[in-house]
Amino acid sequence: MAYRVLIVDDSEIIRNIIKKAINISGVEVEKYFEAPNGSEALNLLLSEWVDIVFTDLNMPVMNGFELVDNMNTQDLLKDIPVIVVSSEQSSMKIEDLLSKGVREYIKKPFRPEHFKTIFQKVLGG
Amino acid sequence: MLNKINDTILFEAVSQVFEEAVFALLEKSEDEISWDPDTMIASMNFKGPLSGVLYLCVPEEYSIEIAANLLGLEPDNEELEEKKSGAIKELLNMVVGIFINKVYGESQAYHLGIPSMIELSQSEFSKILSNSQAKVLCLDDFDNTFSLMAVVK
Repeated sequence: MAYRVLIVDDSEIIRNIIKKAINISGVEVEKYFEAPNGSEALNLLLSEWVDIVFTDLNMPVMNGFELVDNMNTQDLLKDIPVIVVSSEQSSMKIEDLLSKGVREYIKKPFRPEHFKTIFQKVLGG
Repeated sequence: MLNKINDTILFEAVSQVFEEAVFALLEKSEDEISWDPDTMIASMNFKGPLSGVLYLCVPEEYSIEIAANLLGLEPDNEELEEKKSGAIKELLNMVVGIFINKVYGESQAYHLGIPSMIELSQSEFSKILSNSQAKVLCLDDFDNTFSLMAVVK
């Protein structure tokens, strides 16, 4: 099965690295969508079918915490798996995010194998 | 907690990031750090029990090599010129994440800023170097020398 993947990060470099890591991991992707912040991600999620969201936390306009909170308030979006990819390493923040329904947390710097494991765990792919 | 910001913690954070993200092995350099107008400087603030800013100062030529390694592109790829700033900012972002975790521990609440590129005049650069609250680390990967500076506010 090929997945539709949304990557939310204000760094174009990181969006490219995540795409590359997913490609290297061997996961089949039908289409990548990209957004530089949570606000643009929300707009995109309301117009496109997305199987999984990878998001950073610290972003301008709308950060990753706000994106997760907003998705949780919308029936159409609340069941889409969200994976946080961030340089933040605080266990308090990670636990808070997991309690809000975030499925996994990837700390930067990461390795491509992480993504294969995440797809298998979250989507069974 | 101020004592926890030392060369060892800075070195561990930056060497982990460079090894894992750009496949560069670092060692501390004995070179003198000096201002250079061609150096690219990224800065990122952190707030918590201790607040401050980290600066990653990289020669422009090395920034292209870093971007190439980070993105898996050939060093002569034309895209690298526009990607080099983003690469330096992202490396600093990762360094700060690991550094803060080592200083505060995993259970402490803190806030991280967003990395940005800045320009420092020679006098501003010298002011940081002479700041008694600053920790400055000169590093090299055997071919290139660069620096990481932490200033507590």
